[in-house]
Amino acid sequence: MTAPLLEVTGVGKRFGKLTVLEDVSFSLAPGEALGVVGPNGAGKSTLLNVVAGVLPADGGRVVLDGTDVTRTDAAARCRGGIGRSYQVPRPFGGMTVFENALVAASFGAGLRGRAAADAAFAALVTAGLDRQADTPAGTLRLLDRKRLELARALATGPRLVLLDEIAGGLTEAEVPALVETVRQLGREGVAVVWIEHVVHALVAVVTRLMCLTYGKVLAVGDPQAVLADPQVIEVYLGTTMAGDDPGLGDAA
Amino acid sequence: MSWVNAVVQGILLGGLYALVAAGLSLVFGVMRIVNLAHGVLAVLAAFGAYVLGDALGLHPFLALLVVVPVMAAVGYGLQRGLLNRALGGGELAPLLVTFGLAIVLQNALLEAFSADSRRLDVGALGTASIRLGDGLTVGVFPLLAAVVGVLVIAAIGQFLARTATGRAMRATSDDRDAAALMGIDGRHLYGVATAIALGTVAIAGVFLGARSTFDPAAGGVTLIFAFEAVVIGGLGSLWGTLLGGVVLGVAQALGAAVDPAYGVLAGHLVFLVVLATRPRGLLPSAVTA
Repeated sequence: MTAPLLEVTGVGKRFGKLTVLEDVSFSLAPGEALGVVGPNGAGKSTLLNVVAGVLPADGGRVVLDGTDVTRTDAAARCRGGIGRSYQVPRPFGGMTVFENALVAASFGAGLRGRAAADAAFAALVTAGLDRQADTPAGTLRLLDRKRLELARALATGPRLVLLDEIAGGLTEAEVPALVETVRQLGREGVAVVWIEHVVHALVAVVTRLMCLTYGKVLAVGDPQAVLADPQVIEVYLGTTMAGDDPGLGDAA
Repeated sequence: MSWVNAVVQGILLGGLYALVAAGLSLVFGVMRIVNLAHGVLAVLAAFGAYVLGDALGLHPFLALLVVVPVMAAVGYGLQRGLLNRALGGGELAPLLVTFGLAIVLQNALLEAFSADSRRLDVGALGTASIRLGDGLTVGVFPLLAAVVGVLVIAAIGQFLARTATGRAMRATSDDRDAAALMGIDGRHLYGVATAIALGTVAIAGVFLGARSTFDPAAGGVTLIFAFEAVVIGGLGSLWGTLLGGVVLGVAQALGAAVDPAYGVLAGHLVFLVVLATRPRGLLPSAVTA
C-alpha cells in the first residue's frame, strides 16, 4: 500500500463544554474514497472543518502527504491540495458561476490566465453547471448551489476532496452521475472523504465506511461490514434510515 | 450666478469628492471597515507632496510619483500590522482603531507642521479656465480633478471585475471563510485593498491640497464629505460613490448659489434626506458586493 495522503490522529474538538470530536483517527491513501455516516450532530461536518482547517483542532494531528498541517490555515491547506464543499452552500453571490470556479482555480490551484479559465470550466462541466456559467451565483437554486460547491472544490485542483452531503436532494436519476464523478476522481488519484445520508450512493463508491456518533468513531472498515454492525444499526440506520428517507430535508 | 453654472461646478466638485471617497468605499466594500482615518490620511498625503515641493521643488503632480507608492506601502503595512488584528475584535474594534489612528496622525502633523494653512502650488494650471458659453466657465483644475476621480473609480471597477486579485476581493467580500477554502489568503488580500485605498487617497489629498488650503485639522471635514458621498451612493458600491459625490457636490454648489453660507449645509441636508428615504443609498451594491 502506498504512503497515506491524509493521516488524522487523535483529533479532538470542543465548543465550550460540548465535546464534538473525541480522539478521531483515520488515514486515507491517494485515490481512496472514505464514506462518513452518522446521526445528525455526530460531528461529521466538524471533522471535515478540522481537516480543511476551517476550525483549529483542540488536540491531535492532521498530516497531509507527510506534512503536519494541524496549525496551517484553511487557505494554505487548500493550496496544499485540500478542497472542501459546504453542506449549506456558500456561493459568492455577487459573482457569476464561472467566476466562482475561476477564483478557486486561480488561488486554490495557483493557475493563471487561460489555464485557470480552462480548469474552472472543466470543473463546471464535471459538476453539470457549464450551461449556467454566466448566471449570477446568488440566483441559483439550492441543487445548483450544491453543484457549485462541488465545482469550486474540484477547481482548486485538490488531491483530497471533502464532500459534505452533496447528494441530498438529488433525484434518483441524478445520483448515478454524481457517483460516477466521485469514482472518476478516484481514478485520477484524488482521495475523497464523503459525508452522506444517501447511503446507497456512498456504498456504490467508497472503499471504506466510517460511522461517527457523539464525536467518536463507532466503526470503520468495509462498507457492508460497517452497515451490518449491530451498534451502527442501532444508532444510525435503526433511527433516521427507518423510512429510507434519502435526506431531502437535510439541506438546511 | 446662473443655475446651470452652479450645477456644472457642483458636478466637477462631486468628481473630486468621489476621488476622495473611492478608497473609503473600496475598504468598506471589501472588509466592512469604516476607516475613520481616511480624511487625515488624505491630509498626510498633501503634506507629503508639500514637503517634496518645499525640499526638491517638485510639482505636486510629480510628487504623486513618490507619494502614491509610499502611501500604498503604508496602507499595506497598516492593514497587516494593525487593522487585520482589529478585525478579529468585533465590529467596533476597527472603528476605534481607525479613530485613534486619526487622532494620532492629526496631532503628529500638528507637531511637525504647526496649525498654519498651506496650499500646494500647481502653477498656471490652478487658474486656467475654459469658456463653454455665456456665463459658463469651468476651471481646468477642477475639471482635471473630476476626470481623475472618474478614472480612478473606473480603474478600481475594472480591477475588481477583470483581474484574479480583484475577483478574489469580491469573493472575500461575499464570504471570507468560503474564500479561504478556495486558497485565498484574506490577510494579504485585505492588505492589497488598503494599499489601493491609500494610493487613491494620496491622489485625492494632493488634489484637495491644490484646490484649497489645508492644515492638520482638515481631515475631519474631508472624511465627512467622503463618507456622505459613500452613503448617498450606497455603501460598498463604487459607481454609487461617484453618483453620491456628484449629488453632494451639486447640492453644495446650488446651496452656495443661494447664499455662500448655505453650501455645506445644503450638502448635509441632502445627505439626511437620502439617509431617511433611501437608507441603502441610491445605487446599493452595484460593482462590489
